[in-house]
Formats: sequence, structure tokens, C-alpha cells
Amino acid sequence: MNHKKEIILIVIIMIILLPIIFVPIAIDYSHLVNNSTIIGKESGTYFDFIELATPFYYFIAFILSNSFGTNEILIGVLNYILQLIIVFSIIFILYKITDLKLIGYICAILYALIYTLNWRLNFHLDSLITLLLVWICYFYCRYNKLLVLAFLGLVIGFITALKYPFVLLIIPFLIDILLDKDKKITLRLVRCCIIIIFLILTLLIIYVPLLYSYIYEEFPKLIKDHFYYMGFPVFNIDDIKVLLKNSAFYLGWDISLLVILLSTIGFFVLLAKNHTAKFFDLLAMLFIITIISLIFEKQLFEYHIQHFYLFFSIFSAIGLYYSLNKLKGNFKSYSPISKMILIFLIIFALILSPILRWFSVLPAPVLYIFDKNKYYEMYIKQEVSNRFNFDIFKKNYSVNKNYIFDLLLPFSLTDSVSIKNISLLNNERFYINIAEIIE
Amino acid sequence: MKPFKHILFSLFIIIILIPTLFFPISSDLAVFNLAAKTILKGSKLYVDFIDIKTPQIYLLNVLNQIVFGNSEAAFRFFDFLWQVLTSISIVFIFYKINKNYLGAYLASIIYCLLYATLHYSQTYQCEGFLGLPLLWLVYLQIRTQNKTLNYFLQGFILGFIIALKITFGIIFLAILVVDIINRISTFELIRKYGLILISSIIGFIFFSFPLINKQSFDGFITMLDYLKHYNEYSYLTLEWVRYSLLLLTKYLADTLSIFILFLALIGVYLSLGKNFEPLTTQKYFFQVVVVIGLFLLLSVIVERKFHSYHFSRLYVLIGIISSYGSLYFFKKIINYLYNSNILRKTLMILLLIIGVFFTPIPRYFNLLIPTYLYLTDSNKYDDYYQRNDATLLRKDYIDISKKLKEISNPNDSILVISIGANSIYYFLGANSFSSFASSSFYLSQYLPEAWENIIKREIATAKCIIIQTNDVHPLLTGHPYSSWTAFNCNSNLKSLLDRDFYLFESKGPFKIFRKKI
Repeated sequence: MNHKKEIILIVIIMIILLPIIFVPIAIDYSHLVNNSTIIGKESGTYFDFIELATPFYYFIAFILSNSFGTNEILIGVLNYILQLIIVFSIIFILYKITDLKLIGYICAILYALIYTLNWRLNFHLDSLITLLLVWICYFYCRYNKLLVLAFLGLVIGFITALKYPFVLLIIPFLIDILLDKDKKITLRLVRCCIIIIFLILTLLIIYVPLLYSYIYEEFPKLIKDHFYYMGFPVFNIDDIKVLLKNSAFYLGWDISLLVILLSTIGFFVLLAKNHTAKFFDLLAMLFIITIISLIFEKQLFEYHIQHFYLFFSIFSAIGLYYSLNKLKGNFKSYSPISKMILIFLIIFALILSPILRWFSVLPAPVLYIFDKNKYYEMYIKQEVSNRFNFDIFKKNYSVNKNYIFDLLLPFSLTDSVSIKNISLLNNERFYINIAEIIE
Repeated sequence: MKPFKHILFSLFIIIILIPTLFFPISSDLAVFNLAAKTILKGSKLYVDFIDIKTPQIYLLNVLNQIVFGNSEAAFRFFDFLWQVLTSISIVFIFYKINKNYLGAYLASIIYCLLYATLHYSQTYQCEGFLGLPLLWLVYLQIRTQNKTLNYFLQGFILGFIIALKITFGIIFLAILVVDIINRISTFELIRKYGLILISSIIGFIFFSFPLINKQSFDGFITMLDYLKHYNEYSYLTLEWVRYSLLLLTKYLADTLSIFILFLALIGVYLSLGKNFEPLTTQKYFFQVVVVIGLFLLLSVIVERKFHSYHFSRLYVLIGIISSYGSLYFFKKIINYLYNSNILRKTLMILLLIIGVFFTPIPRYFNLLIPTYLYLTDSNKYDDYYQRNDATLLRKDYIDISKKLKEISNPNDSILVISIGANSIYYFLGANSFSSFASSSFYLSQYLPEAWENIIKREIATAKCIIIQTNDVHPLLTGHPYSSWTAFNCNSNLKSLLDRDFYLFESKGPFKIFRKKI
């Protein structure tokens, strides 16, 4: 691939991602920023701001909001830069692993499309997790050194601090080390221990904020609440039905059916080839473990699907590359009727791809710059209407104001000093909890 | 294949279809039942009973009522038999062409799974009756013997198919395109399609004979005029395109399932030719199936309605295509499993296990719940189909019909004003019922004058009126109101109700009015 083509592809990727600068800030991020503004003041996390996320999550948000402020466009730009780092990482790593630049670019385009479409999850810190995973897989496969293992433990510790069930992500690396017949069993065990020790050390360091008195007092209550929360749903047949229905829909709509189908092809193509890099074996294991971690969580929300963006982008890029090569090689030998079927197939594939839906995000930059009112109306119409009151949305749009959902909370909590904000507003149990806390 | 295996596979297919025997009456099925009753008592379709379907589906229900009787079980048994025949035909034709029993049974099993998991409201539809004649049409298309009779039979079957739903006529175009691309001589093309066209017209007239009556025909034309307006309710706007994409994705990902879609796409890829055994008949059969499938998919888009049953017109073809896909895919997987290390074996097996959750199999197991309840506890069965939304109100229908039996005589005229609560007539065993299959005909944006007079007459002569208050259905009515709200917006109709009736009782979302004495 020549430089000119590469530049064109990079420009395309940058254009695809551009609307994320202008789409509304995700609710979760506003929660984080709201909470992070409390850090360092007299009041504290989990007391004046109740959320189920881990403390480390808030400290990242604290750093981000203090470094980049709370201006919505600035946050958009920061997110844009973060996503560009992710896509360039993909391009670099896939090139290094496969020796094929095109696969990296296909993957980057698919990732950019999927990410931009799901703007409601904009700047969800979970997107950091897959980036870290891909890099650590790369280093692990590339440099077989003890230092890398320590680094691996550190990264998994870091990820676990963001999301507890992700401690399971250590399993594929342990399996790989234990199955390595070239090394003695004692050495294998030592290597495993290094990872585990560094994971624990990282977690201990990250939980230093617990020494902060308010957090220290309130955090155990949250943990207790967390266990209570984990009891829901109880996982009866109805819950399983909903889970299956939702997962099929999220995969089909948020990721897009074409990407899922190509990923399935990619997955089997990689596993079928004996010479495939260990990198993909690890990635496949991490993919399955991520699914298992979701089963542990027993819940499925849109943001959970975000953990799979990179996996699906990589597998589908392989699938697409493989399929295109097959079709290209055979095209001349196809009969006219086969060519007609192929044209239908391509149209159908485009309908099921994220490309068409990407155009629905396109008006965001134009309207944001030229007609703010229409901009608000568009987002109210599309996604927000059933959850927010337009005026509240408008009034509190910027993240330096508080997202207070008067419509949903039974009492007004507009005083910024004593915010009792909450993320799962439609959960009846939380009303009870919050009432108890206030008493 | 040994006879024992045939018996086992056949039993398996029948077992898959068994839950369909225990589906309750649906809103559409209740309409077909009323239309069949209209024909059986010598009244005129589209005059004495107005609905938007062509007569064929009502005639099938007449046959059903004559042979099996007029009950939920009888309707479902008729459908069950039809689907068993369809499944046997798949096995027979697939084997005849491909000489592969495994593929034949796989195609049949996939079809049965897909059909059964459509559940009660999406089965016993025109699309469900399409598979059987379509299979034989494809089979005749492949056969080359006795051409004249073959073409005539193809046309006659096509007539039957078009009488089921006019848009199914696209199949004619599909086979024509295949023959044009395959470069049949012009003379043969004219002879073949001339004969098919003539015999399909004969077939269509034969299977739509109620339309021979002039009044019925005029009524049918009025209905077509209404249908024109009805189709305008789904506007071609960007918002509609987005919504349609959403429904299409929802259907493909959830109802059809991601795994079956994957297998079907492998099948379509194989039909392109390179990896397919170069046997001409096989290849031709496969391509005819794929091309008809693609054209039928287009017909769904033309209809602009995306209920699951609209897509079920493709099920026989999807069964066959994904069977080819399955044979290829599993052959490859077994091969990989033999040749890969333990880690990869585990990964593949895990992914296949995850894949099972994205097939219709979990939904099939869900179907076993009402089957079990039907056989053990009829009250719980009724509860299962009472979900307190606008359409799933079995318990309410039963309770209302019991109440109506108490307060009226068997020959009293009862009027149900609702989009989908026709089942009340069924549970009531009513001989006298509204001329309209749905209240949307007279409470929508467009109301033909003749129909307004009919509904006024019906209100005037009714002893009891039941009106539903939550049946909002903009795609049918063109407005966001329930029958109750829309009825109150029509001052002519409302004044008749206020003058002659009083509110007797409210039951769930229904209001029961009784005539003032």
C-alpha cells in the first residue's frame, strides 16, 4: 500500500470519527465529572454522590475534568483524540502482527463507524479497556520477558480497578503460560505468580483513595449495596429471555449485523489456520472471557457491548479481508446469474452495515455550528425525548451544570453542595436507598 | 439412509411442529374464521364482510371448517398438517435434486424451527401457506420432461400463490429473470411464459371465485382503494427508512436469529458457484431458490410492513439455503476440530455453544411453556396469553364473551369496535358479527362513504357494543388514537352511541355498552 492511499484512508477515518466532537455528552460521563468535582472538597465520593462505579473510575475522571475542563466541545475533542489513538494503535498492531496494512485500516474504519454510531456511550471510559488489552496482547506476544509479565499484571490490575469482573481477563494469559510446553513447569508457575503479584500490588495502590475518610466510611456501604444489586435480576426464564433478546438486538443494531457476520467468519478463519499468530488466540480467549464476565454480571446494557467493539472490529476486518479475497479471486468465473446474486448480496450487506446509519450522525457538526436549537431538537427527537424534559436537557446541557433529573427523582436535589445524584434512576430500590440515606 | 433413521428424522420434524397445535386463536385467524363463516352462510365477501386480504386465505379456512370443524384446535391442526406436508415436500424435493438426506432433513428441521418460533400471531398467515406450493413450483421449474403440462402446472400453482397475496406475483418475475439470464431461446421463452401466464390467470380466478360475484368484485375494488390509502400510512421518509432498518435488524437478529442468517449467507455464497459441486440440476435448483428468495425479500420491502410473518414467505427457501450453508460450515468445523490443538478446539466449541443462543432453539424451548400449560392447566394457559397490552388479552376476551352470553340472546347483534379483538366473536360463538374485520376500516383517516353507512347501520341495530380503549396502531389507522378515542372524535358515530346506549361495564381496556330499553 503506498503512502498516498494510506493518507486517504487516514483522512477517511478522521472524517468518520469527526461527529463525536459534536454529539451530546454521554450521561455516564456527566455523572463521572459531577462526582469528580466533589473530590478534594469537604464532602466526598459515595456520600454526596452515589454511583456504582469503582473509586478509580472517578479519579480518572477527576484528572480528565481538571486537565481539560468541562467545556463540551473540549471534551469532544479529547474523546476524538483518544479514539484516534485507539485506531492508530489498531493499525500499527495489526500491521505488525499480520504484515498486512489493509487489515489494520479496515479494522480502524469499522471501529470508527461503530463508535461514532453509538454516541450515547461517548467517552465511556470502558473504551480504554480494550485499547489496553490489545496493547498488552501485542507486548506479551512480541516480547517474551518477565518485565512484560509484570506490566501485564499492572494493566489487568488497572482494568480490574475500573471494572471488577474483568479480573477474569487474566485467565487467557495464565492458560497460555501454563500450556507452554517449551518451559519447565516451575518456570511457568513463577511467570503466573509474577502476573498475579503485580495485579494485586496495582489494586492496592489504586485503592489508596480509600484512605480518604469520607470514602473509607461510605465505600463499604456501596459494596454492600453492590452485592444487593448483583442479586438482580434473579435470572429466571423471563430475565434470560430479555437478556437473549437484548443481546441479539444490541449486536445487530449497535455493532451491526454485517460486522457480526464478518466477525464470525474472521473468528473461524483465524482459528482454522495453524500458522495464525498467538496474538489472535489470546484475543479470541479474551473475547470469550469478556462474554463470560458479562454472564457473571447477569445484566446487559448498551455500554456492555462497548467492550466488544475492538474484538468485533478486528475479527470482522479479518473476515472482510478473507471474504473479499475469495470473491475477487472467483469473480471472473461467476455466471451472469451469480453476478446478479452477488450484486443483491452487496446491497443487502450495505443495508446491514453501519455505513448507512453513520449518515444519521452527520448533521450533528453542521447543526451545532449553525443552528443550536435545531441541534437540541434533533437529539431530543432521536434519543432523549423519552428520558428527559427538553428544558432541563437544555438548561443542564453543559457538564459543568448538574444533571438533575427532576422528572425522575421524587424530590428536588438541585443544590450543588448536597447533590445526591444517582445513576439508575428508574430503579425503585434506589428510591428507597436514597430516602434512607437522607433520613 | 436406513428406514429407522428416516422414521427418527420424520418424528423429530413432527415433534418440532407440535407446539403449533397449542397456539391460541390470533386476531388474524379470528378474522379468517369470520370470513369463512360469511362464505359458508352464503353471504358476500367484501360486501357483508370486509377485510384487506384476497379471498384465497378465507377459502382455505372454509376448507378447514368443513373438514375439521370450527374450533381453535381445528384451525391449528389444519395449519399443522399443512406444515408437515411442507416439511415432507422439502425432504422429498431436496433429496430428489441433491441426493443428500442429511441436507434434506436439515432444511426441513430449520424450516420447522423457524415456523414454530413465529408463535401464535404470526402463524396461520398467507405467508405460512406459501411454502408448499412454492416448493412444487420450483421443482417443476427444474424438471424438463413433458414441458406443456409442466408449464401449465407451474402457472396453475402460481395462480394459487398469487391468490394468496398479490405481491407473491413477484415469483413470476424471478423465474423469468433466471430463464432470461440463462439464455433460453426466445421462442421457448415466449411459449413457456405465455403458457404460465395463461394458466396462472386460470388458477387465480379458480382460487378467487368469490370475486366472480359482481357485488363482491365492486366491494373488492373499494377495498383496494382503501388499501391504497392504508399503504400511505407508512410514509417514505428518512425517519421511516431508519425505523424500517431498525425493524429489519430486529427481525434478522432476533426472530430469524444471527446464526441462521450466517448459515443462509454461507448458502448464498455457495450458490455463486465456485465451491459448489458442478452438477447442473443442483446448481440450477440452488440458483432458482436464491433468486426467488431475493425477489421475495424485495416484495417485503415493497409492502413496507415488517412483521415477522411478512418475512416468513422466505422460510422454505431459507431452510434450503441454510441447509447448504450448514453442510459446508459443519464439515469445515469438524475438519478444523480434528486438526487443531486443544486450545483452539476449546475456543471453537465455546463459540459454537454461544452461537446456539443466537439460533431459534432457545425461543423454541420457550414455546414449550404454553404447550405444557395447555395440557395441564387451562387457566394458567389463558393467563399466559393475557399480557395486558393491546393485543394479548385472551382472558379479557373470554370474560367478555361470558358476560355477553349472560346479557344477550344468541341471535342478538353484537358489535366489537376494536382493531384486533375479533376473538371475542369466536369465544361468543356468534352467528351475527360486524361486517368489518377491524375498526381501522371506519375509524382511520380515510373512510369510504359506503362503509360509513354500514357502520351506522350496525350501531343502530346492535344490542351490545364493545369498544377497546388501548388499541393504538398508527400503521393501520394513520393516527395515534385508540378505537375509543377515534370513535369519540367521529361526532356522527358518537351521537348514535350516546343516544341509544349506556355504559354497562368496563373490563380491562374494554368498555361494554348496552342498548337502552
